[in-house]
Amino acid sequence: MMAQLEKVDVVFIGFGFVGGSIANELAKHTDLKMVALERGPLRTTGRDLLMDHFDEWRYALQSALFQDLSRNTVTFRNDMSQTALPMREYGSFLPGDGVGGAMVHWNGQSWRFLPHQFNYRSYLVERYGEDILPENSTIQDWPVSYDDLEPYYARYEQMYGIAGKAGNLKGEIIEGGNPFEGPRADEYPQPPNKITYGPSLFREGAEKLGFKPFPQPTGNSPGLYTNPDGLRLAPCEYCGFCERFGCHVGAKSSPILMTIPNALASGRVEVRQFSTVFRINHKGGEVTSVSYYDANGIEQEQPCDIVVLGAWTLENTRLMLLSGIGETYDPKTGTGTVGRNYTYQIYGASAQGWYDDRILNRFMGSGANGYAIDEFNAENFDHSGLGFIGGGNISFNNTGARPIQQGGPLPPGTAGWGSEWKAAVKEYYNRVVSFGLQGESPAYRQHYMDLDPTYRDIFGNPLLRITFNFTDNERKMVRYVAEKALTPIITAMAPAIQQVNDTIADYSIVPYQSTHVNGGTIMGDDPGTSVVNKYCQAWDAHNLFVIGASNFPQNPGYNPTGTVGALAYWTADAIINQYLPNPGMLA
Amino acid sequence: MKRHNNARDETPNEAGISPADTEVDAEDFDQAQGPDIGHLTKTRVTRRRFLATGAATGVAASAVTFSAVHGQESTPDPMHDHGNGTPQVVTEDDVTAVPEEATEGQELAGFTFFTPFQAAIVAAAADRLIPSDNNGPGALEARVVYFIDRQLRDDGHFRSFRGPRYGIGPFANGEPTQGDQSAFEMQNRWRLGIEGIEAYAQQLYEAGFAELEPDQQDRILRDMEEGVPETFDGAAIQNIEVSQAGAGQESSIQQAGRAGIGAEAFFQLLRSYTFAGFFADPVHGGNRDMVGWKLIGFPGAQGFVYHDWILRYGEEFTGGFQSLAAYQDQFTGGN
Repeated sequence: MMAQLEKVDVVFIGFGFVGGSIANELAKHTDLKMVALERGPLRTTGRDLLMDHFDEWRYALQSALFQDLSRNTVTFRNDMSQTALPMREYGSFLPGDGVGGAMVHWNGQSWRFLPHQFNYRSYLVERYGEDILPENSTIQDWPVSYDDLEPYYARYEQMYGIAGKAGNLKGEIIEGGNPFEGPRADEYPQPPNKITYGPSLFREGAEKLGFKPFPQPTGNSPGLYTNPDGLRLAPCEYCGFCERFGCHVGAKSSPILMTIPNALASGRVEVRQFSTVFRINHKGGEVTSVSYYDANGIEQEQPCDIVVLGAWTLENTRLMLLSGIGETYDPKTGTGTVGRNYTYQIYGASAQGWYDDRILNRFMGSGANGYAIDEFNAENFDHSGLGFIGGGNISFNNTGARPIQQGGPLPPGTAGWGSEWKAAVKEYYNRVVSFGLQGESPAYRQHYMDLDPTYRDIFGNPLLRITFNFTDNERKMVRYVAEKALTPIITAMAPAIQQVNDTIADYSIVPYQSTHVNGGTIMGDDPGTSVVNKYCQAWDAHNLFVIGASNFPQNPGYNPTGTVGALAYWTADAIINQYLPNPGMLA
Repeated sequence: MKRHNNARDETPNEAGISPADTEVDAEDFDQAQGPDIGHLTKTRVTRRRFLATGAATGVAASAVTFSAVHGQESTPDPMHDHGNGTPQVVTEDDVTAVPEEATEGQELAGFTFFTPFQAAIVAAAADRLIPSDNNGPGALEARVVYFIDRQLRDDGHFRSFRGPRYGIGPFANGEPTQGDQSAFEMQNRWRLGIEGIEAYAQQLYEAGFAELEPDQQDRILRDMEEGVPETFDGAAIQNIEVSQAGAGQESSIQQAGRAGIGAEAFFQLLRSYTFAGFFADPVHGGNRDMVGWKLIGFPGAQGFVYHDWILRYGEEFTGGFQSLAAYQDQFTGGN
């Protein structure tokens, strides 16, 4: 039996967006002693990212900032009849690694979900009747409303310096913003980015058709910004290296800039780098300690009073399963909750155009540099008679044009190599536009996560197994949006050559699609169909808070970060103002 | 579902421009090109230039030269006769073909993973994938083979084109949607793949791949892309296209019976690394003088420039090109 480490008040499992945000709040408002266990390193702007930015091979291709798949990955299958096999290489999604988590390498797209997406099932059933729901649908209402979360969305946006244009201020529709969004108490903390040429062509095309394009809300700072704690974002240089890269000037918002430095300055937060948690120990409805492997692979046990599990969707779910907290979901019986309602994001509806008379300077940009329309998201359009639910946000973001991965796309039929390819890439690299749908991913009974029976990580612990596919509902949705929105818009943009993709087949783990991986520890009002309550508190252990996109009952057609931020500040508030004065299950 | 770079539907380089026969106009090249550019009227000359570059730096000169420089009489049997080809002397002409202009960063020389025999074949194939032509320098001038060599040196059992690789068994054939499940490690995929190319060249033309005419090399690459050759040690790991619309071209690899790497899978590997070596920052050994970036107009590591440009719609960026090394010099003073 190893010696236990000295007890602390709070342990954070993973020190990314969730852990960093909550640790900072606890550091400011309590005198708790905290330890953060992080499997990767602590990187800083000055020592790491400033000096070594712009290396597409190292970061985008060789995955320097992502979870190290040689140590831990997931297994995957499309359905229960298949044998799941490991994702040996990247990959459909890109989990982060290190302090700051995936937000170090995110693009910066920061959304609030629509009000009706929080009571989605009730809304659909009331509007259309039960029959609107696809076969085996397990979509369910959230236990929180948009109004509950609005102040916490605002808090997150202030802390992280989010930029954008309000479309709804206290119920008043504001020209230039998203007219479909829920009412905001205040404008965005920062005005929109300077937006590149390509997206402006999308905006013009969409406006011609009567749509209401608005600037993409973004964590790429347009100016020098100081948050309420005095931490700063520098102005964006529009270098075009956001997603898959860390920001070289500290202009892309992240916990390593906006919350963690202040948490560490309290002197009451200790970060243990290269520490891999493998079990949360619990007894009698309470967690007691966290077991992890230190940098040398030696087991350590850290006793504590409170655990905040914020290790991203995959490890949140896996650690609940490895720890035996809650009942594992069984898709055959529909019983159990941990691993339930795995959802993703639906791509596949996209449009490309090639100009012969415009230079677009595509290499300039930022991760969230563009315009969006919301006419085809969720219930912003009538689904009567369409035969599917859902939709998504349509946007043209000019994230940059790194040449290995973003040299194209080239016009249909272009040779894949040789002089013809070379002539085409020379001609079109700087003349191509591409935009598309970020589609909603509904939840289904047969899509879930559990522990793989065969494959293990380097420490010998089971990998997480994902069972997921697209369904006809999403295939119809993709086809509809491509026909009704993408085709008219690309046509209005009048490129010399255009194409529209309107078809998705089976989900594949191979091509990159989206790092929006959701569900598994979903939140709800009923312990029979959720893992955590409305305060992200585990039904089976009152001193365990689990936060992330793993809480989403299903995934709307937006990026998850804004809502994860709202949940983190909502939970921090509940811990400080409700739980600490009176520890126990919150009502 | 669209495949953006769909060479299967095309017969490139047959009816169209044949780079080997194209007079190269020095005006079409970037300013970084050397004074000997007018000599590059045949890709065979560019191949010689690559080989001479290796020789001129004093590394394995005799081994380099057996494979390709002066025609078929020196061709060894790649499967049984490694190193026994008739060495050729590097000619003065070859050595003087080395570009003399200053280059950014440190010049790589010699091979750390490939044997010179392997390097010559990879270089010849890369030369066809991205030829030097009237649109400017290609993979040879970019020194793509050095990029690939350096990457493969570092690619052990647990690395891939996408970085660290999960290498724990059991290994099983899966569905295309489950991705590359092979236990076959990267260095040996290249070893067998190169031998498969060479054997197919011998089968078709009774000559080594590196000595063939460009149209013959193109035929071999096209056949590989379509999975035709059976010389890839059992043609066993096959490439499966799993492109998701809008997600760019991606492929998976599936095992099919015998061990090894199939022609199509190796073609995709060869092309992926060649394109990466053409476009990756020069710090990794390829994209010499940023020729890949200059072809398409990607300015490189521009850290603090674009905020003044971003709203100048339609105006061509005139800020030049910068490598990571030059960028880092701002902070390190070049040390």
